[in-house]
Amino acid sequence: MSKRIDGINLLVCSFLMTITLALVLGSLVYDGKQRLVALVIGFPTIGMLAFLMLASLIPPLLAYLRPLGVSEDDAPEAESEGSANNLNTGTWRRVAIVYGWLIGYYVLTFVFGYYVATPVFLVAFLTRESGLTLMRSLGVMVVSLVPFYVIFRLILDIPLWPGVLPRILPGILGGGSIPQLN
Amino acid sequence: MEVFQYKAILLRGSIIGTVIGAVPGAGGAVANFLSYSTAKQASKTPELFGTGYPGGVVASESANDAKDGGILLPTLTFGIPGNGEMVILMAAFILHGIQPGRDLLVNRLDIVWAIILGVIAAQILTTFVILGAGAWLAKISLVPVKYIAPFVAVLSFIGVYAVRSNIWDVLLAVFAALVGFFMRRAGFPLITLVIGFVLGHLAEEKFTQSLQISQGDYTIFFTRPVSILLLIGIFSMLGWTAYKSIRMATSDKKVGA
Repeated sequence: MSKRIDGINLLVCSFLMTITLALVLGSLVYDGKQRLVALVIGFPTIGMLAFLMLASLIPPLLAYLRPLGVSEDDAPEAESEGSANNLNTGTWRRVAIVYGWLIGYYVLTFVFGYYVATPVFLVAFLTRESGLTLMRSLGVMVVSLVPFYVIFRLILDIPLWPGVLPRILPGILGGGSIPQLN
Repeated sequence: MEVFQYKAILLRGSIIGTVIGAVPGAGGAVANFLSYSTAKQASKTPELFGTGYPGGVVASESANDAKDGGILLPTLTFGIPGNGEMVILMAAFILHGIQPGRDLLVNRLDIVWAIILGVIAAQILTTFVILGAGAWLAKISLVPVKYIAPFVAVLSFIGVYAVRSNIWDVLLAVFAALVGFFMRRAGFPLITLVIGFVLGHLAEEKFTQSLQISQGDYTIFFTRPVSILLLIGIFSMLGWTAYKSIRMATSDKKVGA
């Protein structure tokens, strides 16, 4: 087992601890039984996360979790030695690129809505990342979006987000029919 | 036919599915996960679970299919619908003047048999559909990720939005993707997270419901036959896991020495 401090594990556990503490402390303002569920589930979770954070700093402690069923068997990634820390610069770059695409797709969807953002995102991704030619990307986009449209709009009748532009430019882009920004 | 190589898992999954299906409110997700985790606990090669191991698929899917039969039991015999679909079935019964329960079983047995035969026919039909289309569907897994990824992203974005028609939910999903990535990197098991997400709200809801039924008396969790049986089951599984882990750790030490 690695003797190094497991930075990613510590980061993830700290994040989960923040969320758990917020939920458990938030539940304390309620009276009686309403807060019971959060407390019953919350305190063991806090205890386990605190132990995991400690184990990130002192890795041999992880062995004590085995009798609780938390073992390397449950976590395929954790099987190889130090795999949690072996993300090299290239991998981080790849993760950043993929995540950038997701953020870009979201921003595009938020502003222009699904009907504009989805074809643009598909063609851009297929051309830039998948290595297809522009014509092929366009073809794949058209063929694949037809079932999407049939399923979500015609069969399920789900109104898709039209973007904030119709809200900013009402009248021009049909701003009267857009759903509320919740 | 590979499924018959996992006879024990198949049988166990089917029993778990039927029993869990008969428990009102538990639903298919509980049967799936319980069967999966039980198969993993009982397996001599638990490390294969979660890597595309067919035994894992057989465990969850056998329970998922078996629960459809079990779920009819409380609906038809007691008039207690186990899930949303059963509520619709019951509503249809009532619309036609049929009262589920003893009356249905005694006076309208023809309907009960029609439903049972319908479930059997559906299973057979599904089998043929999957046998016919399975080979083609499986080819999807051979498509390189770089072609699949954008469509998964599109489907996820639309799927998340469709639940509540809230665009901020999509942003939350994008953030959750980042958290999920780091959790995978840190070695957090995916199945545990999914179980927590799917079963968490069910556990909370049923816990509160039980307390309402007992008028705030906590002994309902220890004195009712079903709850005591479930508690015995839970502690048996925890005990078995702990026993196996300790035995594994001890044998590791012996091998090391």
